[in-house]
Amino acid sequence: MSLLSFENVTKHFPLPSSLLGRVLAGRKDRLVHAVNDVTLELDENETLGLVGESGSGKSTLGRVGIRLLKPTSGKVLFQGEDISTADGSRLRKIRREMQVIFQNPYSSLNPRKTIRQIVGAALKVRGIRDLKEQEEEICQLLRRVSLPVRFIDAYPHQLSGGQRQRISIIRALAVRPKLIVADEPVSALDVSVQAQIILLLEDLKKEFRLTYLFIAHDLRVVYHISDRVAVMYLGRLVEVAETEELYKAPMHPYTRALLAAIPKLERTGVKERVVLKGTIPSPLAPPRGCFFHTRCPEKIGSRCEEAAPGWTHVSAGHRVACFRYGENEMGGA
Amino acid sequence: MKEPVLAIENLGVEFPTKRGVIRAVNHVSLTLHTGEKLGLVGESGSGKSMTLLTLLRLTPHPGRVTSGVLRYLGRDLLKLTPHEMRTLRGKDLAMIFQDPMTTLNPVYKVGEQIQESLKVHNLFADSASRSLWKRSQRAAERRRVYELMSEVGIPSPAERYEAYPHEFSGGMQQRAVIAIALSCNPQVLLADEPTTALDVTVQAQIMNLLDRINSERGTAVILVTHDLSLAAEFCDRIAVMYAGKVVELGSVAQVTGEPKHPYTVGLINALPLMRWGKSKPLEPIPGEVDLAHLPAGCAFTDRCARAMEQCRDQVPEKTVMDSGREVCCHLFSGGR
Repeated sequence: MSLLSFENVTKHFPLPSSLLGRVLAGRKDRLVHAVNDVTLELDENETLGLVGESGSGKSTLGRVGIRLLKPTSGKVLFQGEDISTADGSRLRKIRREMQVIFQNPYSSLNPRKTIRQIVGAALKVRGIRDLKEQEEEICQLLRRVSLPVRFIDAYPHQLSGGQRQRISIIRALAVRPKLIVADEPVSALDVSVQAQIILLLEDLKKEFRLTYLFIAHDLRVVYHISDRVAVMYLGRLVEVAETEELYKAPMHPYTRALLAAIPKLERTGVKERVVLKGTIPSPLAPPRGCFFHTRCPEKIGSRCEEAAPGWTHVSAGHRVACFRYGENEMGGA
Repeated sequence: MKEPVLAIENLGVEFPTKRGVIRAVNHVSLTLHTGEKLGLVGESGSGKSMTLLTLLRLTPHPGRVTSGVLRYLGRDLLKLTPHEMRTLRGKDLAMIFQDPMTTLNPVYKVGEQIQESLKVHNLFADSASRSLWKRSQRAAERRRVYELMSEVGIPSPAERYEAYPHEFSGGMQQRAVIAIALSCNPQVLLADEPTTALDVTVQAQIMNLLDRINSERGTAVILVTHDLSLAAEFCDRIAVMYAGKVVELGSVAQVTGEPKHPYTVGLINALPLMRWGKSKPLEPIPGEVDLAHLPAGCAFTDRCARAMEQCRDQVPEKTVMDSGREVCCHLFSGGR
């Protein structure tokens, strides 16, 4: 059974035009099309990697998934229950099952609180109010992520970046969630520490039967941790596949361009690789048709500019939204 | 071989702190030849950026240079007067910083900022332009700015001259920063993590641009990065730094193909490599660097998988091995 599923989720942010512009020129508010019609499922105990350039809407989708944001349209189902409009005490109850780890451990931990207070607050939510019990639990969690127990009364600034990210992880774990949305959790860290955190996340997943939505722009990191990968461009999903298959046989031109752009240890000379021209268009005015057609090196013709490609199911679990792969069922998914 | 354009000899930079003196750069020696691309690779705190800043004599307070010679075309940069240094900085040695948004001044037009270094170094001065307004000089500068902007791939330069940095995307901002660096035809381009703030696809564009500049203009480049694979693609030679020291130096093939120093080996194993089909498990390097409490001997001892007894209290000497590669490790001292 899928733990979390997005059904045709769309998220638009209004960008109000100035009062003057509205009164004099009759301008309307513009919309930032952050997420467009995304359908995606996360199975229990699975890691789904979500990749794309900055501005592709991957963080917004993650935030809609844990209901930090309300979708403009579409449904978000958590354990089969529609949570897209939940609020108040019902939302608080659901949120206990889902946690988030942010990119920057410098800004996601309150600098004026000790680790005991930071993790303690999460334990209180879980119903552990007794201070003695809290201390025991925090110490156990610290040991679990290989941090010394003396850190319990330290402030975040006394720790290094990698250590702080470990604190973010135990704060998320403290409420015993089912789902963790990890939004670029290792991007701010050094390579050697990155590997430590990735391995830790993998271990914790097995131990606590977690499900991850792992958001990253670095395809190399995603490769190591994900079971499946979804590629996003300008708010739309363009390809979803099992990790091995996606990296071995990428189909969407955008996925291929992303893979080609990764620097590789074995290759010498930057000239050999295909370089994608330009940058991602503004989500305020996405192009017509396939959003990628303005940069696509394999554009077929006017068809790409006129209609958005639907999904082509290549094999079980591998789907791609591109006209290059046969007749597409329109719209939908 | 030809005379190197830049030679760093035995450079040392120290920072006095409450917890004791931190040696940010510790006896670093490097040479850069004309038209060469040298990579400085290491984690944060390894001293790679500090080496670059010191090359421009921009060591931040309270850091001070404790030893060394910085030879640029036969002149010792450390002995120049501040005025002489100012004429070199930006003109002969140009720097590209990591974050273009903080490099560019948000309240000046992008074009003006590119023009500024031409103005400061008075590149288009001639006797005819002595008039009060220096009109022809400014016009010549402006034409040069347009040329530079198209060279780095900023479309419609005349229009974009008037734009402010926030109107540019991250990639375009970094192109503008590169245009500033190129404006005076530098001999050496110092690039400090020029693509870390950018997306992979844009990173590829910027690296291609730097590569083109290197081959067309013959500008020597020092690329500072934490990404070994980026350096492997771009550079001719790589110096791996750890805790202020160069621990391994050699050609790209030597350093990435058959790394010698345990730290280089560790870095490669920790890289999320993708060799399709055979997924290699990640092997992190245990622990983290603590610059204030380094072991008396080799700085890497506490994290090293192959540490021996002598590593803790004896500083390893630099060993020069076959075909000019250098390794700083007890495993290889006394010739292998």
